[in-house]
Amino acid sequence: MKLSFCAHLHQELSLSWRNKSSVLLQCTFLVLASFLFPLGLSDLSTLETLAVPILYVLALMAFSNSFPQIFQKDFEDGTLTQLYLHPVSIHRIALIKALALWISHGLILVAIAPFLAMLLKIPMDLLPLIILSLSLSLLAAALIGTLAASLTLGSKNKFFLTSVLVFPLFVPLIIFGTHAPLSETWSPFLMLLGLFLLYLPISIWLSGFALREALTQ
Amino acid sequence: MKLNFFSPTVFLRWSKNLIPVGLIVTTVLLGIGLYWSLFLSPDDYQQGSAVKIMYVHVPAAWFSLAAYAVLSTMSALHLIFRAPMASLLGKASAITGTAFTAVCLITGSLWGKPMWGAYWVWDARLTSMAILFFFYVGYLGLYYGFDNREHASKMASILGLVGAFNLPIVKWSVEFWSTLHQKTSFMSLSAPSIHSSMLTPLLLMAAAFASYYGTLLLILVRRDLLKQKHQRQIQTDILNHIREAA
Repeated sequence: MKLSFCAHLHQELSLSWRNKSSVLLQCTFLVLASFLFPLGLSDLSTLETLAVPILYVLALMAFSNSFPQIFQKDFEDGTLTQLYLHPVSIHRIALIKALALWISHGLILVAIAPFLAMLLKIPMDLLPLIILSLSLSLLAAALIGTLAASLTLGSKNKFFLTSVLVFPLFVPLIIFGTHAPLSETWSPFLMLLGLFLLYLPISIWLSGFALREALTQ
Repeated sequence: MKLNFFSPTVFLRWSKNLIPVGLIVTTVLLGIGLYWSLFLSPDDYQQGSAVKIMYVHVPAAWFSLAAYAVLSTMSALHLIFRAPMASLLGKASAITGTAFTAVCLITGSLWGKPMWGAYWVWDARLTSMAILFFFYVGYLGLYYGFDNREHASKMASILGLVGAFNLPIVKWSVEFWSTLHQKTSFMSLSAPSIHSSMLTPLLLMAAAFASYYGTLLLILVRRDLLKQKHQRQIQTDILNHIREAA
């Protein structure tokens, strides 16, 4: 039986739709954390300069909550082995996982970003740019997360390892993502796009390799 | 005669004689280098004797980067040629590199306190050094994070490759960020031209670090190989035991 790209993606999306707890967890984390942050400030006028970085860092942290679990369930119940035995390329499995993660988890975060921008007093005219750069950053972050998840698959301490692996790779995303809405030029957006295009082959190729090793070890 | 460095037997034979030589060379170079840099080299007219931290700090920074270059090369060799020796060399390089990066960060912050008035400054070089440290921690974490040693070494080698792609990007993006933010440029980022009375001890210390790094690599890989050999010996002993009992 052949599994087409769209059917495969649809299957992943409906799986994450049925299992909403991780989506709910990350959204709650983001909302609560950005609600608590201003309460920690003694001088609220500093919020103006801090708001955009706070939103980005919290969104990326909330997003990375779900990274350790990306392949875990499929690995444990044998779905991954079944897919591997199918005539489905292992790289496509990784690509679909990253795409599904971005659609099911990332775009939800982007969707609640306007609400958080209001809480954090970010000027409303920045909003379209923030949405654009946040969705691009989260797309690149989904690729990084897929790579980290496939590398730590079956490890003893995968929560610690995933965060250690993911944090240094987030550095360029944080830098260009937070500068993109405030910059006068489009160059940070182009940089984000470039990062995505660079991470796409590296991450898909290497996580496919790591997945095959994990399945055949 | 072909010298196959990736064969464990050849490595064990060569390293047996190389390690004592390396230890002697390291001790001599370190002795001369430390004496020269601490007692013979002049104090800086601005920094006073605090400049002597440089003789440890700068070689540590150089060799933390060199060790990552070796680590990523070994990772690639391990993944391409499936050579277990390459992974052992990569791991040994990661351990030494982590130590060098830690030394570089610690001496840097101790040097920074009297010079800049703070242990930590958000500068491009410091930040990328800290990120290099996290790459090393991630590599070693993956290496020791699995029960299956072979799988662990493969995953760690993949991370070594990812780091080789990403470290230049991270470094470059951090530089972009720091040029954007650096309002107080109280330090000259361009390396000042260095007088030969300071350059000679610095190069001596660098040579000492190089020989220390090489020797440590040999010792660590040799230890791992002997450990593996020992384990195999135990396994065959047990098997023979069972066979005799049966």
